[in-house]
Amino acid sequence: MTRAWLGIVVFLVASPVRADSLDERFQRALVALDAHRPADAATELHRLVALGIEDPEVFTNLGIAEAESMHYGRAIVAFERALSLRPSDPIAREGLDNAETMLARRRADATGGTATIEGSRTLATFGRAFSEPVAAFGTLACAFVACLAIAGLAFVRRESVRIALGTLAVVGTLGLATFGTALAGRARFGALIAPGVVVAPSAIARSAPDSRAPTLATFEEGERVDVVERNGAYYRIAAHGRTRGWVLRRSIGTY
Amino acid sequence: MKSSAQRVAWPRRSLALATSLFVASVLASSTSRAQPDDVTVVMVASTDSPTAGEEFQVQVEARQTSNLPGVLEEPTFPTFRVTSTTGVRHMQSFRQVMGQPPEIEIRTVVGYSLLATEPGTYTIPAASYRVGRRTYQSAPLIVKVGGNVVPGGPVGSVPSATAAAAGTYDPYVFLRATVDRSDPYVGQQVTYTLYLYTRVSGPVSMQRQPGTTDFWVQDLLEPRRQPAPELQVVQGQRFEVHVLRRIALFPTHAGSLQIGGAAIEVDASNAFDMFQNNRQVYARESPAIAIQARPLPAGAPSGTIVGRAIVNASLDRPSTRTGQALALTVVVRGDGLLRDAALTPPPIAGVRFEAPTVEDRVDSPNDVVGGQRTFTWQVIPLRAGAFAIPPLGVSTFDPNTGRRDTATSQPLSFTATGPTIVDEPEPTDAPDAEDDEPEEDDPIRFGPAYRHPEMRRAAPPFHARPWFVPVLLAAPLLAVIAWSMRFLGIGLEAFRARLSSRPSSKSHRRGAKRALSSGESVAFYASIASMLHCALGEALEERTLGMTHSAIRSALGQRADDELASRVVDELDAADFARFSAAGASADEMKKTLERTDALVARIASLPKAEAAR
Repeated sequence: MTRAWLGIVVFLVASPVRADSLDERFQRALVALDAHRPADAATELHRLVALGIEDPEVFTNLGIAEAESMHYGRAIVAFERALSLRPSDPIAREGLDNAETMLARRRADATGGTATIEGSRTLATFGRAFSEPVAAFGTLACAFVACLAIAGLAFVRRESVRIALGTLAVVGTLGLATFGTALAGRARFGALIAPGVVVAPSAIARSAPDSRAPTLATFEEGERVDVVERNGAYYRIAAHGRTRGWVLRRSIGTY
Repeated sequence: MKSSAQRVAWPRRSLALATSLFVASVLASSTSRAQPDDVTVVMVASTDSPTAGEEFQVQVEARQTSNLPGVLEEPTFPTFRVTSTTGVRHMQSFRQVMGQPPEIEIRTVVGYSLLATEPGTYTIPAASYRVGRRTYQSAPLIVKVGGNVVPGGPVGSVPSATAAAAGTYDPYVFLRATVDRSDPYVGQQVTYTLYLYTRVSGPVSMQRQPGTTDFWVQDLLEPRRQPAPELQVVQGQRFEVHVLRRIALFPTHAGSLQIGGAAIEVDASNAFDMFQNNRQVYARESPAIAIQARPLPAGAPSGTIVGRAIVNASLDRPSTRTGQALALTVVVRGDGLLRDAALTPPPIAGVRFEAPTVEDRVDSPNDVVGGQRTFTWQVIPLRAGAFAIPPLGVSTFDPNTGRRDTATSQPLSFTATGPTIVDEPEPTDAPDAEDDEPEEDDPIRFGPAYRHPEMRRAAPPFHARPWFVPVLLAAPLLAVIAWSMRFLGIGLEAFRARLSSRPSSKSHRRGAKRALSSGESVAFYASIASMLHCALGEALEERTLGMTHSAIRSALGQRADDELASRVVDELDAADFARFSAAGASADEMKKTLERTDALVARIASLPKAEAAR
């Protein structure tokens, strides 16, 4: 009995302590952002993420902090994670566009060319149209509507009911295609592990997961890749539809 | 009467005759083609002694009496400027005299308007006309130009005088960019013009605009003000010259600046090229142009107008009451970038100036950017009295003379009556300070940051949860099951009937066996009767439980032989009797009864269905 009371007391005391701790970290990050110390803000927000916080607003603030630290590759990863949780987030969407613009400008300044932004992949872009629960439940609901309507057509003979069932089957199939495609985009279809962004100033792709292996290609910060395999400290990545080699994991941010 | 063979032979002869006539006419025609053509080529001028600056016309005409048109090779005019051309026109005429082949005459004509710029005697080379492998030439034309030299640049130059130009010659399409000055002051207008020289026709698409990062830009060509193309001869080739862009650029800072190159594409494909996937697209870029922007003279204040300006000030009325606003309007008119003009009224004791509204109007008559900037202040007297508004001025700088000056307005005055307004805020420069705040080079901002997140924890996505895939697969499985039932002929009604009849007949037999093992004769015979009724109900497709035994005999007799009907009815009678008979309780008898009943049920079940019997 005494242990039970002790447990309740510990629970009541411990719960607000944990909440305050997370909130304090977040407030420290906000203060650092307001004081134009984006690196400190990014550190605090990274700690929050490491503690298991997966909140779109935290990721958006992390993207802002990374962007203001001029780590645009990391900012893109943070904004993408925010958008995967809340596709309609206007600040994250604008931040993502701005980070890509800044990277394009930086590339243009380095090469003397014009700033061009790499187009987003269609499936991933479509995947951001719905949040994950909406896409998942939409897929399930439309699948059941379509299949029940098709099943009903096997038995119903009345013409008006058959027309209604046929319409339902078509609508359900269209919905299934829409939500299913969005879910496939969110489920990282095509990337065995995850889509990623080069977060280092440059990343060298090698023919094997070894620092002495020959160089195959070099990627610049902000370039989008698909991570297809993991081996120790290396990711095997694919870009533009074909495998490009092994890159150090710390050079790639996944979302 | 002619035979059928003869009737067929006549048309054949007619056909052979017609064919031979046709071949003969074709041969005659080809023979006439093979004869040498009668071709004359003439080049004439409207005058052979024009004066410099006078426009005159030259016409080339080729005549031939053949239906095989030739190709006119147009003459070149290296020492004249071609201001317009009619283009090559073909005219054809026929004449036929009875009994003779038709006479065809083809005239090929092209006309040019030429402008002589320098006096002298010039020879326009002969024009050539090619028919097949033969070439016919006109006589050369000698033109004696009198008068004086006409200013306007050498032949082949772009129409406007240029301080710097960039462009790479191409025999078909090329771009040329010019600026009217290459060393302007900061804020002074530089007129940039982008010309397209083309000898091909087709839609032009601008792929990249000229780079104007370090300039404030004003477009001088509105969509409705596209100038007509002009003809120019460059390196002996005649080009149509289109003005693609004309913009006024104002350097925003001193130093080496660059106007980036533009890029265009001219699609010269025709419909056949598109069908053959052989599009002819000319992609061209203009080179960048370097500008050296000079700073304004030392001491020039911020907002100095590079150009001329005049300032006019006015009040909407000469007097007012305290606390009521007057409108002070100051208009700055002139040339140059007036948006830089800034005006601040000096503080006047007892008067408050509200933040001004500023309105800009930009004009570009004759491609010189100017216009006016209008400032309007609400002036509120806070006490009674007479007030004077001193002249308001803007700093100007004339780049031609290199002199600085100040354009000022006339002084104004007004009077106010009424009680003094207390608790008055002092006039401040804050609004103007905001107005003068320099623009950032980099307008991209991130944020704002969120302040109160929900701090949601990570959770596995729904599509990764273990129930998701089975639930998702259940839906199509349901459809597959439904359609399988349909194909197997298991409709809903049959399915319901099987659910209701088969299991109950078997269950009655199970009940009979249980009663047999426990020696309950009443229950046993009741189950036997139920077994028979279920089998009969399924065979006759109607309930028999409420029917009399004679009715059952009659109904069954219509579907089976009388012997089966009698045996079933006897068994039902025996079952009814045995429920109340002590002899019926014998285990042997009950076992035999069950065997007999099983045999009867099997025979009843083997009867044809009602539909088949009908």
